[in-house]
Amino acid sequence: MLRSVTLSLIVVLTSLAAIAQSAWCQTTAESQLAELEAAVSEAGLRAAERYATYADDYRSLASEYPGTEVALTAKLWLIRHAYYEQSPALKYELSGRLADEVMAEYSQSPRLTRLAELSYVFEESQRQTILNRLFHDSPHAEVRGYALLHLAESEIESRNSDTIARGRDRLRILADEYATVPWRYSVLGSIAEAHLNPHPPEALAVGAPVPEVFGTTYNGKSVSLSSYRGKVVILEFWGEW
Amino acid sequence: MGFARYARSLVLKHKGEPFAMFGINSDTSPERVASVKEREGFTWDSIFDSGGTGGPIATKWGVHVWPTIFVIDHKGIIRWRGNGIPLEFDEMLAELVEEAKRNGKR
Repeated sequence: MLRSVTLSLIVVLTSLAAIAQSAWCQTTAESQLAELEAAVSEAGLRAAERYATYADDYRSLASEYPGTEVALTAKLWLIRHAYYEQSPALKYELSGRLADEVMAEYSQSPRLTRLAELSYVFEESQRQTILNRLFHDSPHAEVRGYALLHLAESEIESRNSDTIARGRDRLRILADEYATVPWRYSVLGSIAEAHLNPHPPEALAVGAPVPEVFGTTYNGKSVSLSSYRGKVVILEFWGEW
Repeated sequence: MGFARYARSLVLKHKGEPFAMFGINSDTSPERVASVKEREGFTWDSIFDSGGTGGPIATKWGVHVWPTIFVIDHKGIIRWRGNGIPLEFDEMLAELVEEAKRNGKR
């Protein structure tokens, strides 16, 4: 009786120690990542310079804390910045290997939406493979939706009419089955609709009545172009980056 | 950003007249937009196009170059479109504002 109680106590204490150590490692990993991200932000370097300066730090984080969310963050950073490798062959080799690792280690993660967003980094055939795997294998509607969108967006730019048609089919699937899935600060349905029904060139030509455009400002105020009727309006598509 | 800064001067020049700036913004977050607007003194409204280039509005309007500018008269007709500031831009704008003022007096 005393022996079995002692053994049970040892098992419980060992488990608690393992949990505590894992939690400590995660906290340590997170604080190291936070420190690195703060240093990168403060340095204010351009993307290519960031890569040259900090890639080794991100690689160290990924190898020191394998399988963690911190390692995933590090690998996604490395994929994004591999874009700035001077050699295309090296860029594709590095980004492709990292993508394979991410999909193998984090196949169930909802954060693989980011991998779909970064698909422009990969060599084309690998890009297709990665996006198709994300679409077919992820249990998360957001990941599948993002993959579908990125597949469609390149297909509708093709010169091949069959490829364009395939892209439009994917957009219709997005509009029908993924309409309310969150995408950036909107939903997949809105970007799918925009791709499926863009304004024809003649609707935006000099001499044409300007189409209505409405939405919300950065702080949630509803605005519309038509409310300015009676005034001369300069409509500017802009941003700072 | 060059055009937006130039637009600040237009807003001042045409204050009290039938003229307005209206933006479609493609920055990556509302916080970035707030920061830029405050720093640069952009007082006019801009629709936040969902955070980044390739947003729904830019996509629907076929915009792939920033900035893209449309000049719209008081009746809602597109009178000019482009990506920069041609030499005669101020003059064109002044004429359109005079048109709008004449129309407002009828």
